[in-house]
Amino acid sequence: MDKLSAPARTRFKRFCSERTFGVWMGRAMVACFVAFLAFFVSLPYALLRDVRGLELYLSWIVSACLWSVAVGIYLRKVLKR
Amino acid sequence: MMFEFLALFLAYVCIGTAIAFASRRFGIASTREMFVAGYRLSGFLAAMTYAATTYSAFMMVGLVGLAYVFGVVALGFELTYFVATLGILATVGVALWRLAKVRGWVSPSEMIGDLYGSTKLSIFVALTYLIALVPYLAAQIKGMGEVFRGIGMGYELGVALGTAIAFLWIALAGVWSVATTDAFQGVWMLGAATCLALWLSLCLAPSMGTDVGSALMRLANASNGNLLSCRWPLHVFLGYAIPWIFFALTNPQVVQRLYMPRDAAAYRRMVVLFAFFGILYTVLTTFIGMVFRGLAMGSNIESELLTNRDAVTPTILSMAPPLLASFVYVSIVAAACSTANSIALSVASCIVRDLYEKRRGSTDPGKVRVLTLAIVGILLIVASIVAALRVSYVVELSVLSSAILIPLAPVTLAGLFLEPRRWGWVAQMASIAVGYLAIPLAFIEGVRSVFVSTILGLPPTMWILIASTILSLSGCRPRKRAYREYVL
Repeated sequence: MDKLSAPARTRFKRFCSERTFGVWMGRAMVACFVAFLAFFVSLPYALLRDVRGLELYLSWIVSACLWSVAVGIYLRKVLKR
Repeated sequence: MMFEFLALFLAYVCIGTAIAFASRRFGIASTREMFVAGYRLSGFLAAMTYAATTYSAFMMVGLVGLAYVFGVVALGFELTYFVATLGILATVGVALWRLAKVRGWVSPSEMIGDLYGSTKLSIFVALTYLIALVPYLAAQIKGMGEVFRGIGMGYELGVALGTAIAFLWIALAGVWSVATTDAFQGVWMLGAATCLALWLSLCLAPSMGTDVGSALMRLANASNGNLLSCRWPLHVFLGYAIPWIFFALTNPQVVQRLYMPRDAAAYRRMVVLFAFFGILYTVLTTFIGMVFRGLAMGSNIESELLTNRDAVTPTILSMAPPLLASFVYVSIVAAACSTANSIALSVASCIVRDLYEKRRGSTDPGKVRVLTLAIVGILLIVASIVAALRVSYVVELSVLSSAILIPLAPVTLAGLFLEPRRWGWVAQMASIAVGYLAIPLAFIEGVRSVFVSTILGLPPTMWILIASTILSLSGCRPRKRAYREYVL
């Protein structure tokens, strides 16, 4: 922190403030949720198409990870109230 | 092999018993302490007991076999359960956790009775748990017997030891000893799955002149189809997935765990750590099954295992070094034991709370403790007798329990978010009774038909969900108070 210049330090402190951090966490949650839905669509996609690579396997794993992150962030927000 | 297994099994029992004994310091002075840890479980313990209770011996035996036969769809099926459970934990779970503390719920049947203001309903729910979960309990004990039989130490010995360990770890400190030993068993399960997956990737595959990537890619040309695409028709996928989607709301042993975290931070930590455990364990077990199928392709054992998928894990372990095989076998015992003692304690809590304590008005902790241990003992002995007699349809009945309990999902959700009508509890009883229709269907057509057949294009499990939801909603009206005020 001490190695940062004064303006960078101010920006970093502002980013870490409760409100800004909350807004970024909210955005991250929505992004993870949207990405989860996008990956999970691979189920009907796979039912219609004969997948021969690892895309279905990997997309399901990635979507479950993103869903977990979104749930973690959501709970952080909900359980503060 | 027998020596390594015995040494590791003894270590497992000694460490587990020491942990259970040490957890006596938390104290079990009341029913709440005995069954829900006085609502003061830490996030780590809550997560580990939730994970070890949820993930039974099915993961390392059944799911590995399912991934071997059907490929990537097994991962999709198990991740559907995982995603749905996380969704429930983030929404309804928060409401249940908060209300449990406010209303003083101890057993899940008490919760449903309280939501509808009916003791008759709570007794009916307790009896439903008893009917549905005794075969599930017997299947876990049977799993422990099968491990001992596989090692060559006798099926009956496995059944007897499994029952004794499950009872001992409940008797020492109620849910406190169950939760702490679950944490230990969860670490063992995850460690064993990781070691097996690493051995498969770094030792077995190179010794056969191939690698994991090639083994996985070979699955596209398997003898029973392309295992890298979704091999099940949509109705089969739904038929299997629906009972598991609502598992977190229908099975008392997991519902009860939602009451236990001590504060908001512990609840959040429980969900996050469970997510970490669940995704890792699911990916590892399906990876083991899929990679082994890729490695076995073209050999004699490939076709043999296709007709007996429960033999996939024992076959893999027969090729592994004895110490690793023993480590994994003990992890299967741990998975079965952690699920069995949680079920026994949870069902006992429903009986003690709703059939004894609430009717007699007795809260003498000594009496309640003796009664609980007597009920747990009876449940475990009955289940072990069923397992020891090798009743052929016990595993089928245990699978059926997930279908029988489906109606408890709409009943719980309606009770939480809607206002019950005066005779609403009758509608809820009718709703729960719909789940019992799975039993005659299973006897006439076979258990598999409950999940894979179709009635008017939909699987029977979907019809059970639809019918029970309609009946459940008929006994409720919109809640006057706002949802956020009441629940969140």
